[in-house]
Amino acid sequence: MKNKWILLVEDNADDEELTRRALKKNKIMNELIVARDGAEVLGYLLGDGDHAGHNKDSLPSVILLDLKLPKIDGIEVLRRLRENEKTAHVPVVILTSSEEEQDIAIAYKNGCNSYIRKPVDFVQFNEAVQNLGLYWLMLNEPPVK
Amino acid sequence: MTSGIRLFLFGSLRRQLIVGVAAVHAVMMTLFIADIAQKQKAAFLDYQLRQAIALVSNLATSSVNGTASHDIMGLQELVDAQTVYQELKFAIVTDVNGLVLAHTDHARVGQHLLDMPTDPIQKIISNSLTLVDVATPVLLMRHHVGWIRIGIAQTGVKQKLNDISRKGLLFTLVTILTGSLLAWVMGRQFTKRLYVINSVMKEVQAGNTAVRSEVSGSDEAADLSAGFNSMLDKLAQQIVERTAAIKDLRESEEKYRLLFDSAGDAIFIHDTDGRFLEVNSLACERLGYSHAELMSLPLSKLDTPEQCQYVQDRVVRLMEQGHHMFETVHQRKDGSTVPTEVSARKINWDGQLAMMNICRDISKWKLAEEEIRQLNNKLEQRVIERTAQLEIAYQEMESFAYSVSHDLRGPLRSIDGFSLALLEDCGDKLDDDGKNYLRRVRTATQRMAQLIDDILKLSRVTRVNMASETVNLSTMAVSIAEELRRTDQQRKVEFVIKDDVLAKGDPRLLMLVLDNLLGNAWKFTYGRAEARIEFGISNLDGKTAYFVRDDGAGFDMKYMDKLFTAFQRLHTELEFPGTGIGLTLVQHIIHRHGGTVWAEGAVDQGATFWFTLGNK
Repeated sequence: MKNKWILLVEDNADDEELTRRALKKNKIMNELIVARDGAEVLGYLLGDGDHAGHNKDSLPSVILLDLKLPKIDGIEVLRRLRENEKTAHVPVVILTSSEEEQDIAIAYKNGCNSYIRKPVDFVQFNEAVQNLGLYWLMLNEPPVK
Repeated sequence: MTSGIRLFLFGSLRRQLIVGVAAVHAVMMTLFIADIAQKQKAAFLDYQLRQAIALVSNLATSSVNGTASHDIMGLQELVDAQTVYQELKFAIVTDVNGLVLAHTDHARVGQHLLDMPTDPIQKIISNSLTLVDVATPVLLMRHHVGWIRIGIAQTGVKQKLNDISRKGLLFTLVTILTGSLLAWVMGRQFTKRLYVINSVMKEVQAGNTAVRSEVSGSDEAADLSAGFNSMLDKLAQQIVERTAAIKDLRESEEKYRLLFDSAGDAIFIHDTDGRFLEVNSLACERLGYSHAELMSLPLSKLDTPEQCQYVQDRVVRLMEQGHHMFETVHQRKDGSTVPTEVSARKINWDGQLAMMNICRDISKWKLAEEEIRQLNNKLEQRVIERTAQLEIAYQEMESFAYSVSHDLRGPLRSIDGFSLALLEDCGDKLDDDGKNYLRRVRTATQRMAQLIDDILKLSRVTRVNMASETVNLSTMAVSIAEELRRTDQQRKVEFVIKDDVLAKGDPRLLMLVLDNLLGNAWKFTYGRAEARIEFGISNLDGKTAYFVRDDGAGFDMKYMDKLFTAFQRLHTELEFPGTGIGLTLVQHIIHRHGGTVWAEGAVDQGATFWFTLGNK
């Protein structure tokens, strides 16, 4: 449990705060690392670009990835992660406002593990986050320990 | 010379008649006279001979004794006595041996006659007009004692015969003259009538066709005259008809010529060897040739060298089909070209097979065609540009929709999320009013999120590519009905769905239509103890119309036009929840299928929604 951490890729501070709150409300105390844009994610995980120094030794148990991001968008981040041998199997859950069919299709095509639309109703959002934490942190066996 | 004589003799019927009559008379009279002269001559000869025989016999009788006794004196007397006969030429007495005993010519007594007959019988030694010479023996008691010879010559006989001939000739001439005169008179009488006809004929020949011959009587001449007149009448009639026909022909020819030359198209007529038989003035004018120049050109010179190769093919096709239309390019004398449409036809030209080409100058058409082509190109270009603009507009709309779904929902989430956080985390610091206000904030937020979602749905219906398949609407309706029942199992709603209602269209969009219409029916029958919702099909004016009918809240027909307007609602949110987008969505989809949608209803008496699909 201690080594299991979550990578949240989110440029919106409100959404970050609400996500943190939802996790807290649902007693998911795992470490939450937030990346503000696509480039930062790749820096953390792959040691690319400006954030080359920040990379951690272990991989997150799940990446919560928004699609609309500054610099490098979510789909591109997903594609790059899947291209890289190291991150090819990290569970990625798309967490986004969009329910456009083409976004869903392209996300799965590029290897996401789940696609969740952020509900406006925060009660529903809470439930979603609770389910996410439960599933990916408790039930799911990650590919790399 | 001979032809002159012939003309003189036979030049007219009158002369022929006179010559004929004269000739007949001449021949007949000549034969008659000759016959009379001949008979006269024979009579004379006969008379002369009988006289000579009588004389010689008489002398022989009277000179028997003298002869026997050689009484020369007596015999001489007897002989001399014979000279009373004027015609007597000589009288001779000889002995048996021919010694002349007595002779009218005394000088010859004592001579011997050598031409005496040998036998003692009477012999005619000569019998002609100039001399009848008879010898007869002198017999004494049957003894031949000597010969008597008498010669008679009638000197007047020849004269008489000549008289007869001369008078005969005179009679002949008189007869000929008389006959000719009669012939002339008769001929004149006969030909006078013919001359009447003849003169009429001459006058007709001179141009006076109105005169007619007037010959009375019932003879052949009168018949001839009548026949001649009727012939003249017929001729005159024919001339009148002929003149009219010629006039018609000339007028027709003039008309044809006028048409031919004033035709709006150039006309070329040529034979099967490509030689021109006729061309009209427009043909000359258009191509810049004189009539003679054009007529002398071969057909192949008419077209440009590029077109020329098709000439033979065209002739062949024309021969096969009788009529052939084609486009070609004609070449003027100065080398410039005329785009031409040709209507070619096989015709009969003065009894020979020919071809008539009616040629229309299609320069203007060609120009117009070119203009149309350019306009089309421009139009196509414009369509391409517009399509590109439209595509850009679509892309903009899509990116707008995308950003609506993303960017508007983000803040709403924050409002809702933090409102809830406030309620949960700081609830103890707020009074009931404060908490109520925050709940209202959250409700409004969620409603706004719903509206945004509906707007996106609407835009998606407009943008989505449409399929065209056969869809079983009944199956769809059944599954929707089951879904609705599941949401509220307490309600008593009867669904009446007609089996196997088929339609052609996009299955997902048609599903959305039924979903909305049946959903509405479900919604607006809420609160009824028992409800009935029907889906079916009907034929309206030959068109298939589908309907969804309920016995729910209904609506006032005067608000019909508001039914399909986006976000327009006839009920409050409290009465029946909703954003007012459903029917707008239905209308969009039906319109995209080329159909129409309308509704009937009354307040509290239910509603029926009809729709048609244009592509069926």
